[in-house]
Amino acid sequence: MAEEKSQASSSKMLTLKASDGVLFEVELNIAKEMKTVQAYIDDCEDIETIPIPNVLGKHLAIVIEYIKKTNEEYDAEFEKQWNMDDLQLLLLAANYLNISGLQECLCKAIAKRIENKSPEYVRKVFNIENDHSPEEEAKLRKEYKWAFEGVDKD
Amino acid sequence: MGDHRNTTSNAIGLCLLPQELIQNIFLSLVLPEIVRLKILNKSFSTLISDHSFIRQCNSLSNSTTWLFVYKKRWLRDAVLHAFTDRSSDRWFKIPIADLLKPVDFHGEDLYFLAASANVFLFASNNVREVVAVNLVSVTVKKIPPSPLGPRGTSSWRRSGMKLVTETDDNSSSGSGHFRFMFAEFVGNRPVLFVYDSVTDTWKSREAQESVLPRGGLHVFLSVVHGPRESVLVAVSTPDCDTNTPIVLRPRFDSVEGLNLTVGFNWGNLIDRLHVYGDGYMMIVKSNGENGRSVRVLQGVELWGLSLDGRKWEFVSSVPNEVIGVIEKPYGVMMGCLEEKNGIIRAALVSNCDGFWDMLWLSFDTKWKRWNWMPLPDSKMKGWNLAGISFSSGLTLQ
Repeated sequence: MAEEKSQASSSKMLTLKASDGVLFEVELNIAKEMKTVQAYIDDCEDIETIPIPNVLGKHLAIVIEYIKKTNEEYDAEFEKQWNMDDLQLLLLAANYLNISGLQECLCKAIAKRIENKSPEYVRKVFNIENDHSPEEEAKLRKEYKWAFEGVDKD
Repeated sequence: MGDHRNTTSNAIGLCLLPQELIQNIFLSLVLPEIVRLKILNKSFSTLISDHSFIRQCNSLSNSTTWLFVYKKRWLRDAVLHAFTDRSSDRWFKIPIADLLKPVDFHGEDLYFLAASANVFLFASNNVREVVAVNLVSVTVKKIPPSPLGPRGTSSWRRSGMKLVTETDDNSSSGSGHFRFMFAEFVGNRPVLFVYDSVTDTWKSREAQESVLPRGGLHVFLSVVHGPRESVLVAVSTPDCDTNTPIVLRPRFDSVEGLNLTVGFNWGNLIDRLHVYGDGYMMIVKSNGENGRSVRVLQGVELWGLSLDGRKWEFVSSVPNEVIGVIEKPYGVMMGCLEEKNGIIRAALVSNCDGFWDMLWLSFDTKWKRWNWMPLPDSKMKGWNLAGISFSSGLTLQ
């Protein structure tokens, strides 16, 4: 079928292959939003399937959907659907794929979820252990005493 | 997930996200939140102390606007409440009492004058002194009396005053150096008084009748405001202690404006509250019923100094649809106003039967757009308001 020249590039399809083998067919202009993919295409013009080794199919699907639908309204509701683990994995994906808008959206979302939470809660979120000695911790709390008032109960 | 990605790890547990992403997340938080995260573990504490992170953090903080409200009920309950539009909708509570112990200031006696970056100024009514508190370096310092001698809080509340910290002039993290200035009549001449924290001395210069120079940055300080004419002192920054201050006497001819109702009797009492700051004036009009002590907001107008400083010029009115949302009965109202980078912000505080209500209004002079935000309930029923001020954000050192 004859296509308009101006539409030719946007209708060209690419295949992205997630780390678990799931394949996604996306339009070129969507794929180009991922700067990492763009670089891949620039290097090898005729490529049709691009491997995305660091991202699971589940997350790649979400990322592609985001790129298609992103606007102020969508972004505001976007993060509400995902739990904290998914948010972090999505952030890693967005970082690897180099999609700045999504990275920003996710950083803000994670920040919002740790705002005003106890240290114990935040440690669980980032999967870290407290390695401060009691003296070190007491010293920090004293030094920044003014900041420790009024934290929400989790 | 390999080690090649500079993961933030420790002996037990492995954080999923690399340092760079953790830092980006933290930069979406406001300073009191960020500082708390030092306690998480050593790696995070190091991450937050990293110079490049601090620089980015302070840069964001400098362009953030905070509103500080000092509320007290009695002796030990005095707390500084802080709000920023950058955070989720809540108040931060900063306990000031402990910081003030070394100087024997009592909470119940204090009035909050001004804040800028990490410096907070309080005036004591009993001892008629001013003290500067640096929240981040946890230091407290009494300021020597100005050439006018010790002043009570009622004098301070009357004067236009300004606190300028070094971070306002350049983006280095706070050295704590600040200048505090106010203008007052001495005899019948307006005089500018400037305190410099580096020399710990005051300088005073009589303001001259002159023309306001075009361009350049100025600090505008109120001296007195009458119904038809105001007196302000303007001085160029940054060298406000050596530049010659100028007297401005802008006239207020309200008939020039649009939809103004000066003198128009609606059958009810018309109440006008004028709030001044940085060369702007906000007129809050309310009407109340005869005999009743309750008023309702009717309109808010913004006026600014003309280029030559000779008159007040109408800038804009808050749109009717916004007034419709924010009008509610109140007993008493007061406010504060500031201009920063072309955006004018006002906080209007009203009290009705002991309940406090606060509203944050802003006007963008470039896009000619109003924005507004009711502030969350600060749960301060029955408390007294003892000072309110806008400020730029706290900075890390």
